Amino acid sequence: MAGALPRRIIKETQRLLADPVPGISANPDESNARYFHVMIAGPDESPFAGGVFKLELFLPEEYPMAAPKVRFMTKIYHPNIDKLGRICLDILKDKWSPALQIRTVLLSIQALLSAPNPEDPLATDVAEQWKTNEAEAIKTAKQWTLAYAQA
Amino acid sequence: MAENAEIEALCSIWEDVEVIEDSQKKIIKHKIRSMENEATSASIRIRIEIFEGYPEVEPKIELSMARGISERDFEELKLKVVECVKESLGMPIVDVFQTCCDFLTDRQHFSDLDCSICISPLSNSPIIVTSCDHFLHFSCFSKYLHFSKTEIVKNLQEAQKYDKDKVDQHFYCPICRYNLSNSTEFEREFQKILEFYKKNQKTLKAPRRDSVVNGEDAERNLKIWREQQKRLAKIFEKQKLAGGIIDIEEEKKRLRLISENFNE
Repeated sequence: MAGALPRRIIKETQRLLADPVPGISANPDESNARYFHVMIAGPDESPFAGGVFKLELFLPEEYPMAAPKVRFMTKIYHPNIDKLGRICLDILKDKWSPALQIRTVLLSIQALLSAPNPEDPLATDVAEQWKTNEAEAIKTAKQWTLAYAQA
Repeated sequence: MAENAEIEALCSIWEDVEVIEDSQKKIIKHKIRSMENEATSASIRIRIEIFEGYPEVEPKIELSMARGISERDFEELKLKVVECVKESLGMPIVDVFQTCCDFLTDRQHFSDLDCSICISPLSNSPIIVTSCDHFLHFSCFSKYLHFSKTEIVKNLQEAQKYDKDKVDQHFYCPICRYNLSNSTEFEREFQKILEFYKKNQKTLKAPRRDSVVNGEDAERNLKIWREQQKRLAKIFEKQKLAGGIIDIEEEKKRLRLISENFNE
């Protein structure tokens, strides 16, 4: 592996384990401390409630100057998440700042599950559904949660 | 009108105190800094409402945006201010200003705050304070500035000629995104900002404190980690069996097929 692990990553990891965010767990991989296995519980009052979603998070060499790379592994029906699990979230792109952390990123993703934003879509067909027939979209999201995201 | 003389006194001691008056009350606003009043001074915002009947009727005092002191110190200062108003003999507001200034002066160079970039104690190496009052290590800030510049250059190269105006060429505070540059001539701004903060570095003294993780914590963390690993692996296997895990290669193939058909 390239270089020693920066202290910041060690500290973040320890804090994530010792003082986890409710509904979120982030666990470093056995063989690569920059790769995290993440689990986010679907927020109550959202179509994803009752589901648990697996994500992978990777800290690139330039972290924390560059943003972590995050992707959903569990299938999810959401206007800001595409079929490959990629997430449309500004802080993962041009609004990233080194003052943000793994913890804040995961909190933002959890918030995105509570408040889908079809005006800024990544999955255009899902967003279209969400805009034209929200009730139907929410129903589909619930069905997907039930079918794919059970613990 | 007891307060008029006091406000006059206040404004003669402190520069740029903002006073707003309406029929029912007077509002005083100020950013109080420590005695040294340097670029790296700790600061706090104060807002005081004075009502009819002052000083018998207690003024309402709000403190906010504490910079350069810890959360714990901030709480302590709030209590001190309440006490100060109660015990003041003539000019509670002037006394409160002085109390805050003394407190900031006393605590600011013994910071137990962390740098937001490396999340290590600020007292580890020289610090700077941004024009929006955020504390960072100079070395971390400099690294961030260099990285931001490289990004701007990269974005400019990637942008098509006609899109270059759309590339953001400013430098921002990493904590609050306050715009730190005065123009879009980013090469010059970069030098200016770097030079300015280089000149205004300061070293803080650290209060003694325990290391973040001791052996016992480390062991407990390891246990949590093992349990989580097991739990996550189990859930993953279950979801995979149910067809709930995204198959990247499959999805990519499907996307390719769609775009190929589209092109035909």
